[in-house]
Amino acid sequence: MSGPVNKSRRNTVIAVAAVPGALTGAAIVAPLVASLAPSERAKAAGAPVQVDISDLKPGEKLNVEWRGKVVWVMKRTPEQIAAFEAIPASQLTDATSKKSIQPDYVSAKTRSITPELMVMLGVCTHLGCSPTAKFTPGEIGNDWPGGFYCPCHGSKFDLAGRVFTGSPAPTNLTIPPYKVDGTTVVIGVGQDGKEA
Amino acid sequence: MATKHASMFTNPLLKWVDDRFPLTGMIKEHLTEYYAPKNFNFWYYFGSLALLVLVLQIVTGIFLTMNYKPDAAYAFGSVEYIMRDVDYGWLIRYMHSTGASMFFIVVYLHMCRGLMYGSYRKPRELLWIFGMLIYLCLMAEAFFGYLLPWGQMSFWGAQVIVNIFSAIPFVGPDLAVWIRGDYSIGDATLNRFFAFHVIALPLVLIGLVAAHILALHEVGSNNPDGIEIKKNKDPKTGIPLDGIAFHPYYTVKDIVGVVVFLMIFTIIVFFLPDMGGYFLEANNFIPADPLKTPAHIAPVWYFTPYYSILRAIPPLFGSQFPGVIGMGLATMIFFALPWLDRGAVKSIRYRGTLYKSFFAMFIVCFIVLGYLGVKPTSVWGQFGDWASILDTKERATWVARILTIGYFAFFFLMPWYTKADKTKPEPARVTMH
Amino acid sequence: MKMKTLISALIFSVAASIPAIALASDGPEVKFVGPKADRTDIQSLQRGARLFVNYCMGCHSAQYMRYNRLSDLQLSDDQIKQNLMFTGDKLGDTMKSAMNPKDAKEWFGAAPPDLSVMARSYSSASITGSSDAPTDVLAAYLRGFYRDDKRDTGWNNLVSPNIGMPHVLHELSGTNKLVETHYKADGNELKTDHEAEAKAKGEFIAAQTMSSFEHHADKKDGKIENTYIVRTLVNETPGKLSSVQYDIAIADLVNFMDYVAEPNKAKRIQIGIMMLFLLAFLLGAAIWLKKEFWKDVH
Repeated sequence: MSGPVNKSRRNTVIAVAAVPGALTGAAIVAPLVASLAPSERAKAAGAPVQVDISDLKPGEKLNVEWRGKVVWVMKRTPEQIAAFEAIPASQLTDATSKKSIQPDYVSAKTRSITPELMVMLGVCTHLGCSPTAKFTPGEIGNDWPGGFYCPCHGSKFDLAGRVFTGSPAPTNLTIPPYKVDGTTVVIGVGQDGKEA
Repeated sequence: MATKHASMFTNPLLKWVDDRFPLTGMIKEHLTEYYAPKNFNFWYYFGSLALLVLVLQIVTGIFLTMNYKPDAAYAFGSVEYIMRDVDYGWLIRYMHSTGASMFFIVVYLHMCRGLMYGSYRKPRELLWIFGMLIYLCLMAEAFFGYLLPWGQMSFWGAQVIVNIFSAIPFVGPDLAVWIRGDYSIGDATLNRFFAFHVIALPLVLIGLVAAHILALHEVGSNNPDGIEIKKNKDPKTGIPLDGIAFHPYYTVKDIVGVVVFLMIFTIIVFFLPDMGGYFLEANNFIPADPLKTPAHIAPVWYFTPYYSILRAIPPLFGSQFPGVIGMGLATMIFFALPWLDRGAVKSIRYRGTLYKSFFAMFIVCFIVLGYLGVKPTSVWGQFGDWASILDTKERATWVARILTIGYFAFFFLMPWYTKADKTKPEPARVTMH
Repeated sequence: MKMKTLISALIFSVAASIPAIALASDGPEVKFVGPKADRTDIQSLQRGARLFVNYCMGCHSAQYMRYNRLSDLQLSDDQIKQNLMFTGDKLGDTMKSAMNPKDAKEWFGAAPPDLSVMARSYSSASITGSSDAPTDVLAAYLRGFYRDDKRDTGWNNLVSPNIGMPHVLHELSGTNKLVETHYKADGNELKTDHEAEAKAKGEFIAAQTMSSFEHHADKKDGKIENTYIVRTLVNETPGKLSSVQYDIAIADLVNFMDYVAEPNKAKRIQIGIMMLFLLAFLLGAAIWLKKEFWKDVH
């Protein structure tokens, strides 16, 4: 033993060594953690989807897959637009879509870029089931203006995707980022050019 | 059996644990009050390094398994997926492939230390046996793992080695089919090798490593002088006079060893991951093709000494089985060391010239046999027709045969030369160098 | 004997026991003298990419390489789309050939292999005059095509004889023909095998174009007859590029294939340098830590 142990000196040495030690530890852990992020293959598969709507007739709805989820692309008729615009706000949980998810560039009234073209995630905001189309007025009740009905727990949505009061779903159906290029709808890229 | 230690902690949570789990006991028994000889040298870094590489392989292995597909149609592609599409997948792959070779480098140096200092001698025979079992498991683990990338070398290397089992008389061919799960190496083989490599053998390895360390701590570590430090204890404390607490002295020293290792590891992973085709073989970048045999099939470098011995032994009665026996014996004979060595001293430092000559010959044989195993048997050309006794004219095969005799002589003659060896007197206390 | 002496004796005996090796070759010895492109030369890689897409992808895929990765070559998405992609492919797609592998197998005898990691599948080049880079074999192969009317495709190759691949780059390189000379100890000009071999080797070494040297040993009437064959490629009709330009084009193409085999190489080296600095710093701290504690020991 070469004299008493200098405790404070030892603690300094330990503290100094701990710095590159911690950095090395982080350098070893970082790539492992990073490897869990979506791979290039996942990102490529999640790339924007292009939909040709040149043949889309009024009242016709397409189901498009984007990032593993179903997106509805529908040409709404003038009657359908009038019907959902006439729904009083008291019947809707989130009439102004304040709590719901939609891009900034969609109009608040029709929840779309143009009134006829509806682009919406067909995923119920309650627990994720896909609602069924019930477009005929009166189809599921006298006051039914036409819209979507989720079979899992009974949530009801209008043709702008707004949820009716009394539904278990808390918010309106989500509008994904999309843009319209002539007769092509691109789902996954916004009008502002930003990718989802 | 363990005495109940008073908790070394003041923290109430740790005290709570201590009342229900031997935390203080284990820390004292294996770290702060485990006394190791103070004269450990360079050769004593490799035990802790082996443990480090084991952890490294398991961790990188887990992350590789997240993206690897053990299906003959997708395996090769999934490795390239990891190399290109997964963030830092290339780094995880290189760490795992480099780690595999580094594991063997570290383990061979660790075993060499054991040979040099007589760490296998009484009372450490069981420690040596556990270590040898770890070595065998490691070889199996590497063999199973090597099939997984499903390249040409993976496929054909596995084909050759499994075919070795078919050389066993009577049961051979059926045994080989049972091992493969098919008539030839295929998807069935890949799936089961995957299961062995990823979970079965790692569990066994971890158990054996725990047993290895417990066996070590039961008798205490050997040292470069080969003397037992427990023979000289402080009369008051009972602590060996030449012993120092493992923690903090050897934890702190092993950290230096770890950092030097990491530097070498970093240089290989980032600058030389292929290592000239020894760590990642060029032929393995070609997807496995059952219809195309490569011109030259060789096992990975760490198996090559035994492969050389296999090739060197000529067939008897039309069967390659003697070669198989020879290769098996070459691996298993290490188990017998504690009982073959009749020397008066443990460490090579106090052995005579006779022993040192045999030891030097063994090392040369092992290394050159290893080198020959990488090359085709035609590497040094041929003798003339006169040399074709025992089925070969190749010079390399003749040299391999001589080296094989040397290899086995180290073991078989050991009871004689260790006894006849003129040893030097062992010191009473350890020497520092 | 002290430990250090023992170790040096061991090293010496290992070194002494490995004799001077004459590598017995399994096939012809090929000569290759040509430029090599630098991995960091972006222009070269871009040219190589264009050659690859235009000439190779008709039959070969690089199925593990994504188009959007080519941004590594300092190309914008638009540049990649316009110059390097077929119509209908998306930027995130992998580089797949349009050819159906079943058709290819029928036409060429074997499906053209995927080229993603081809550049990594060569072991160290044992080619005369090369820098020993494994990819020199690939470059020599691409330079080694010559016209051969006996083959279905009309082409043969000096490095891989009787390969099923036609010479897709012939409009660039022009057509080469094979000139083959046999040297034997026939008792006239060349009296011994040794003289024949020396003459053959002389011609081989002096050749300015792709050439190969082969030693053939046949057993005739119980005696061994040695023939030394030198094969050289001679240009018949010129192509769009001069021979120097063609050599550079091949260097670019091989450079690109080398990049495709491991796109992460540049990043790997970069990170490696940083890690070494960090570890050097850590080593200093660790040694200091060890010395501080070991003051206690004796």
